Amino acid sequence: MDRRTRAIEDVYNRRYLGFRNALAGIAGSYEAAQDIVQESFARALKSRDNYRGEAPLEAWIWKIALRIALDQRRKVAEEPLADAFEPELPEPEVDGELAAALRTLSPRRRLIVFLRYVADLDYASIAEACEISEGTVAATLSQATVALSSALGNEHPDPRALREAAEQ
Amino acid sequence: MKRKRNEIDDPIGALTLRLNAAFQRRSGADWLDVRRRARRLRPPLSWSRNRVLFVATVLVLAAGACAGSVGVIPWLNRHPATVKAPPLAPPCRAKDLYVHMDYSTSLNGLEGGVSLVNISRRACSLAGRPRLALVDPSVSEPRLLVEYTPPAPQSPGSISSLQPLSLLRAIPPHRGASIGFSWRNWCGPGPAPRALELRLPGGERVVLSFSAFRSPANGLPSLYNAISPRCYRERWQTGLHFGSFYPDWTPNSVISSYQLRSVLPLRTSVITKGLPTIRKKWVGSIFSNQPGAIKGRAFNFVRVKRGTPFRYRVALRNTGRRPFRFVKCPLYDEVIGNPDGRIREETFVLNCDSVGAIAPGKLAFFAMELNVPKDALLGKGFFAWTLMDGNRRRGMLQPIPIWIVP
Repeated sequence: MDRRTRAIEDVYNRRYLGFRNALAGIAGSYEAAQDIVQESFARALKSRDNYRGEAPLEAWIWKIALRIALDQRRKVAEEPLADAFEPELPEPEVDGELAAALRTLSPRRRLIVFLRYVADLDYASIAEACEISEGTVAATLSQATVALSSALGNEHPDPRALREAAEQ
Repeated sequence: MKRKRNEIDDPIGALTLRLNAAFQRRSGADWLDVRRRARRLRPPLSWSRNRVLFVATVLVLAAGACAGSVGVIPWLNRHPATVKAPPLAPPCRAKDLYVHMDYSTSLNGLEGGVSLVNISRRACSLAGRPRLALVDPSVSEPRLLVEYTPPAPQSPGSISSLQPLSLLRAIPPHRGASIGFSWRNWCGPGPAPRALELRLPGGERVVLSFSAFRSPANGLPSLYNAISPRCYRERWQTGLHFGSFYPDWTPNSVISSYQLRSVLPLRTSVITKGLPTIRKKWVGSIFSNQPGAIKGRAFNFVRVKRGTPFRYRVALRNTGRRPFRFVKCPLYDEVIGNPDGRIREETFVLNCDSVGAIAPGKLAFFAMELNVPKDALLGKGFFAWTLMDGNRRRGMLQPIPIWIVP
């Protein structure tokens, strides 16, 4: 097994859930997301020699994943990636209030929120994956966080409730 | 990634926690599957000018060569794999469940459903017969008929076999079951019962007040905003009818075995050309819910013989811009019926192994078979074929009118 294959496998093992969950928000279901993740890593493996190391490996795989997700939505491939999706919680009934709050954000903001807080990508990787600048990522995230807090009706959400939600 | 607990005072950390809590499915990571898929993929092309010319030439030649050669892929008599019954879990207790009722009232009475979701951290069981009753301590016992409809048998080839009742033996966290009910003809005496009592198989009772689940139907007559059914005929008994619990999920392992993509670039059509037909005059509609499809004129029905296999062909056209190749063989669903109901429904695995790539705009033909039951009602009926993705139907076709003959 070559070094790059090992690196891709390492990203897969460490970050599978981040990919699957954020893509579930983008593709609309866990099942579709799972398929996209598998396909993305398979394509990344197959074309690993094309990775030139200019961006983090994870961002490069994310770009492939977003392209596959876009392809499956049959959107025009030339559409900017950051504007091509309308992410939602795949099971909005789990947290209806949060699902409603997310819907108040524009699709671009939602995508970036998912990539940052669900996929745990850093600003540079989000910028690379979405083909936008890091400044745009920072500004979008800042606006999205304020808007989400406002929509959730609490500037500083109750930590106890959040802990319970996270532990359920 | 979940943040540590000491970060939850930070609104961003809190938001991250809450977002991650909204994604609760377990990991389905499978690196071996990635490697298998990678092996199936073609190596990436470097698009030099010469290569573009070469590929274009090959495509033109291949398109020409394929244009006249169309084979029919034989029918495969294979039903989806049986879903294994999980080991029996402890009975669900009321505190393990989130229970919700939905209902509506209309001229027919009050119809609704109760859904139960396992909100505990362990699997629990709803196997066994549910019991429903109308309750209200303030009223005298109504003249009430309670009727339970046991579940219909699930044959191995039916679509319901993907979601068998045996799943109720162990409902995992965040999964659930539902139960349908109808209540008709309330004429008193006294005020109507105001709540539905559900007894769980373990014996515990859950009381659901009709008024607590009433969402107002604004602008509609009061009949539609009622919390009890209308009085249809005083002499008749009031009746509460309900069925079994039904699981509301299909195991991921089953879905992923037959799952394709979120969008399929395939257009499906049933080839009726060449099938035997029978010309009949028919007044009325062929399919229920389609009034006036045929009105008193002669029509060519596909002739189907009772008790024999109905053989036909289905074509799948690649409407995408790239060659389409099945990664997994999906399921399809066949229904043959008459306006009064379904006569037979069967789910099979599509014989896709030998299809190879379907070029853009090209067709692949599949031979199909469906046994028409010996006891099928004679006369008009319909037939439908649907490609599935996992356990979901994709691209339901317009039903084809058939005429069943002895």
